[in-house]
Amino acid sequence: MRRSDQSPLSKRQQALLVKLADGALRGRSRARAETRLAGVVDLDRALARQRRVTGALRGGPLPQEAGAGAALHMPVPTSRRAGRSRSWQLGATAAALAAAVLVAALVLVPRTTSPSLAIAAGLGTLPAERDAPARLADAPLLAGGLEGVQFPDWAGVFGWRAHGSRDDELDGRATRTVFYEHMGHRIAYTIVAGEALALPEGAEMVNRGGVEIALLRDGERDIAVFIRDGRTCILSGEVLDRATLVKLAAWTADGVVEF
Amino acid sequence: MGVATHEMPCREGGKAQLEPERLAEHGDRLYRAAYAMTGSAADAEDLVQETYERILRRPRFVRRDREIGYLLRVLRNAWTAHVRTAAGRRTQPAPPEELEWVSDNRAEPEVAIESREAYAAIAELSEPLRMTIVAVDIVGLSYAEAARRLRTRTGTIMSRLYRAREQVAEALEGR
Repeated sequence: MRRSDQSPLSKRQQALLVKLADGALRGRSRARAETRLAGVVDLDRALARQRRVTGALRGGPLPQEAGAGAALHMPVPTSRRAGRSRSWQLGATAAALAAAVLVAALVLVPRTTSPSLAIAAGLGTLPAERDAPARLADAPLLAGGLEGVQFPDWAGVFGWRAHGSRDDELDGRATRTVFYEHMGHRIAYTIVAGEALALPEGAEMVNRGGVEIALLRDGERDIAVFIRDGRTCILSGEVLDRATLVKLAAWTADGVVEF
Repeated sequence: MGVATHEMPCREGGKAQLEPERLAEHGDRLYRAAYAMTGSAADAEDLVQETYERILRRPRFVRRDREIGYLLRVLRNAWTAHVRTAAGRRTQPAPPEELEWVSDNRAEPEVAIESREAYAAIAELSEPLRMTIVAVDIVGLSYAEAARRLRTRTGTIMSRLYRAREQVAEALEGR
């Protein structure tokens, strides 16, 4: 970009021109400013250029004032669009897709995980069917859980807010999934009831704060598998850096989130 | 025990704790600012995440009308720290044509294109000019509040704003 630091205008004139362009001057102040800028060559064009930029930034596709809970009206790479949040009230259409997604999960990661784990990881791609459990007032946890394992409440520390949930049954085992959202991204936290599933062979293993985490990848989705109180937990979603999943998975809240 | 986030009382002087709900309310503007600063959607998301984490690490009490200015300052500090520690690792800004914009029915196509180009041009500005146009034209701070947050004089803010807009205008005219 060509620089225009060597402006023929003094700093005082630049400031006045900005205020004029922004409509920040009224009455006598405005008249005085116009007098001081009277000698500026192409004053009208200079004002128009200033206003063109403010118009582009304030009148473009990004709303000037966004209300609470509004979707981000921001440019995102096409590859990330699939991971953007959707309302969980998708109804029958999404439900009809569920079976297909589960089949896809089996096809996508059969060589690295047991079938149950593969299917459980696929639950994170399905829509929520009910509200998320309530946040506890006195601990960074969500109310309820599965077989004594509670879901963490990350809203206060990481900004990821519980957004919806669903219950499923896989191979006779109950599963509960809570969906979390942050800045247009969605991740899923699934707890599988019963004895822990075998961690997949060939997965990358990391240890964060004593928590063993198996890392997998399914297309655009990252998957973290770990054990809490003998139950298999699966964190999955499209994130910019899978370290995010590791950080969230291993968060203990000083021992409140038990492993 | 983790951070308590519910029903924190207001302090004297009209300050209230910045809670996740309040952060979410400023999310769009903060994200736009981050995008303009970094020139990359990926970096912008990371930057906003880092900003949230910094703020939520401990209770922050801010006057309601100064929240966005405060957030911008934390955002800028986070970006500065990132640039210092990860110089050269910045994600390449995505060319405007590779970005998918979420449609807004209120925006005419030509305005949307112009807006896209303007954001791309802002990412190329020098740091002082970029922060100034982000603070005033994107975040919506007054000249005085921008000067306070960027620790400079109001006159300097207006002068920088003029030059920043001039450079962006040049980019728009040259496209």
